[in-house]
Amino acid sequence: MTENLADRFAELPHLLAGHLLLSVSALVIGIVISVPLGVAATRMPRLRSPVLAVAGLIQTVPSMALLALMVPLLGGLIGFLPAFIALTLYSMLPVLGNTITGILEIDPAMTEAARGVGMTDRQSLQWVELPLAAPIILAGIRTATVWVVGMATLSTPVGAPSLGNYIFLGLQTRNWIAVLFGCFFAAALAIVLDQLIRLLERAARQRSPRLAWTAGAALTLILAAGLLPEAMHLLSGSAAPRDAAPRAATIVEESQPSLAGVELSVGSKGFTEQYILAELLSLRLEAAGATVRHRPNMGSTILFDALRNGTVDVSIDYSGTIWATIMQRPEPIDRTAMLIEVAAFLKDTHGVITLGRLGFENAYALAMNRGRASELGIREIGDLQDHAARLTIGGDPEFFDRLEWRRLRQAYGLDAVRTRGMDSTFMYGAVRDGEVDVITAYSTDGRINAFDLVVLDDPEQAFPPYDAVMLLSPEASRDPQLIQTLLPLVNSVSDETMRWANALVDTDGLTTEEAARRLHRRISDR
Amino acid sequence: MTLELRKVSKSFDGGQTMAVDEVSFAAGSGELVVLVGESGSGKTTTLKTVNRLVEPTGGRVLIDGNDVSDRDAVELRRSIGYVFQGIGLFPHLSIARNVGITPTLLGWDGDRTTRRVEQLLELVGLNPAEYGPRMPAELSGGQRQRVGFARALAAGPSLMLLDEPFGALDPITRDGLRSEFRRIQQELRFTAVLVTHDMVEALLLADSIIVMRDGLIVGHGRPAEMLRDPSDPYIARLMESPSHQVEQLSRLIGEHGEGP
Repeated sequence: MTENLADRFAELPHLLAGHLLLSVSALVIGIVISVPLGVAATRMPRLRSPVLAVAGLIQTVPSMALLALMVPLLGGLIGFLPAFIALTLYSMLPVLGNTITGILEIDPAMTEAARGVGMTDRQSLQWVELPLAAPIILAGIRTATVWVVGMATLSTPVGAPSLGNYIFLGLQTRNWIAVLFGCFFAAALAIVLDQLIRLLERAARQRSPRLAWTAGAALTLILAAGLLPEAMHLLSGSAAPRDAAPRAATIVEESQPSLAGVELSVGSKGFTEQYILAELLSLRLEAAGATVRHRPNMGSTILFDALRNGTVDVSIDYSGTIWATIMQRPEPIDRTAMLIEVAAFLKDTHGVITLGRLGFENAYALAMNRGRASELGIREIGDLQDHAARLTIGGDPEFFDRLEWRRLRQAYGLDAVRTRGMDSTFMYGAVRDGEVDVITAYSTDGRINAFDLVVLDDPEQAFPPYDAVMLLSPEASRDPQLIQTLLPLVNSVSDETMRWANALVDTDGLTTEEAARRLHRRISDR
Repeated sequence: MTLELRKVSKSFDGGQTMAVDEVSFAAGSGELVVLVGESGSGKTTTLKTVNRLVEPTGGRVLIDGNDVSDRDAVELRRSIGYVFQGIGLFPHLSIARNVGITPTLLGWDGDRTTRRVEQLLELVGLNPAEYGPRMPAELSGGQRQRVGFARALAAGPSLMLLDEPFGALDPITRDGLRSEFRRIQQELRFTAVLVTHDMVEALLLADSIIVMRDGLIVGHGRPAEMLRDPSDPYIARLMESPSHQVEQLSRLIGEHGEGP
């Protein structure tokens, strides 16, 4: 518990700064676009309804979807930019709407007085209309701020660090302290910003410059305090050259590779094993002196795109996943042949280097509650067919969209089975408690044994093999020091070891960091 | 500074109805012309054609013989004082900044504007040190209207337009302010056009009176002429009320024997 909290606090400066930077820059740009657009809409009535309709339409797109859509729209780019653009779009409606309302609701006598004393349209806007509409515009900015700070927690899956990292990590690894921790700080940030802008709003309403200065100074102070650690980090890190190749050639023999001053980014998908392995990679890289950022909770294809374009340097993926989702190959082949083909394909097509197997396989497998399986007389996947119409299968939403699921349905005649997408962390409990009949389990998950589930045989070999492999981005693969650092991990984690490490988190309630530390010790002691 | 309107017309609905219908009148230098009429008579619209807050659909407005439509509207308005119906002070600006607005727009330097604001606040009977920093909401209706006058006078205009300037005031304040306005007008010798629905006010202030009804001029003349010989039945009716009041008052004073 205390170590859990200590791990959480250690990440706080980085995540809070990321969250603030993302929210504030999205808000600032959102305001810079929306206020002039709103003003233009008051000048050109024909512009008004289209502008509001588009802003309203953006608002109806679920925020998570808006974020996810930005990634393909930006050609697979992850990190700050897609999250920033989505949040900017999301912030616009309240500011735009309130700017238009605020200006249109000004007493016409005021605008006539402005013209009457000899103001141009611009002067009338600047000296009379905007100041009079300021309280209403600020109220819109306040709404946008609360929305954006809240929505920023959803930017974790597109690779932008935010307080949402706590929430996603906690959700995936049943670490409720982490979830609460993330919620608490995200809510606190929203409340503090909301109150300070409310103060600005009051200053505008009471026309009190002193109050406005106080609120402005407090806002600046909070932003500076939140962003300072990150700014210092950027300043100190900016001098580190990434390309160590020329000097590296001479020191290949060195037993302790040095990555001092190098900044690396480790990506992971959204489940326990991926979190632990990312922490394991980070531990090794940090031991060699690198500064490591962990970008957690990305979808398979988003993570691969990030690796391809170098936003992420290292990740762990699975041969069968690449085979089915990236290579779009329908028929699985022999395990070793697949590894070779995958590695060749990644290098030739994307310049991504396969550093080697980690040693274990984490396959998709259909699992059932043991009692339920014997009650229905089910031993292998084909046996499900007779009961197909009455069965519900639970699994991560990604799975039901994958080639493997299509193959599985065809091979075993499972078209009538109902599917229920859920977060992978919840599916083991769901099948144990009978909420679903079958789940798409991960074969390394500790809960298969802990919850007494049976894994159904796959005689048709509908599932391809899923060897865990270490992948390096094209840029990272040019750094021999980095390769030296990671090579010892090849073939270091057996099926049994991975299951043990996963169980540390999923059933024993340890943090992913602690599980990674124990895993690292276990590997090193080998 | 002379003002002349020649057959000025205005329609807001493309010519079906005329809000102002071929109105012509002139105001000589330093003269105070009062447009009087009921609401909807077109008097305010007529006034607004002078500083182009309303663009006429027909006719010409001439200031010193020059057509105002040849001038830049913004620059024209800065040269003409305007006192708004309902006063129209900017609620987010201090009294001093409200008064100094037109000089600021004209690009006067800070010191000159400040001196001018102080001078004007004194002219309208407000202590500059006390009232300058205050916000409009902190003043009474009469004080606000004084500020409204000061603002209209700020750039030293030789033409003033006043739209129901005493409309929102209680009778005693209205009375005091009216005579003070007359004093200032005679002192500064600017030409003025004032709009009111109150015949008594017109009679008390005007050098000449224009009576409007349904966009048309139905009568004009000096107050004394109007009182003596109301040519039009409508004007006669407008005159009845003040004359009636005067009769009643004189009778009341006579009965109590306190009159001269």
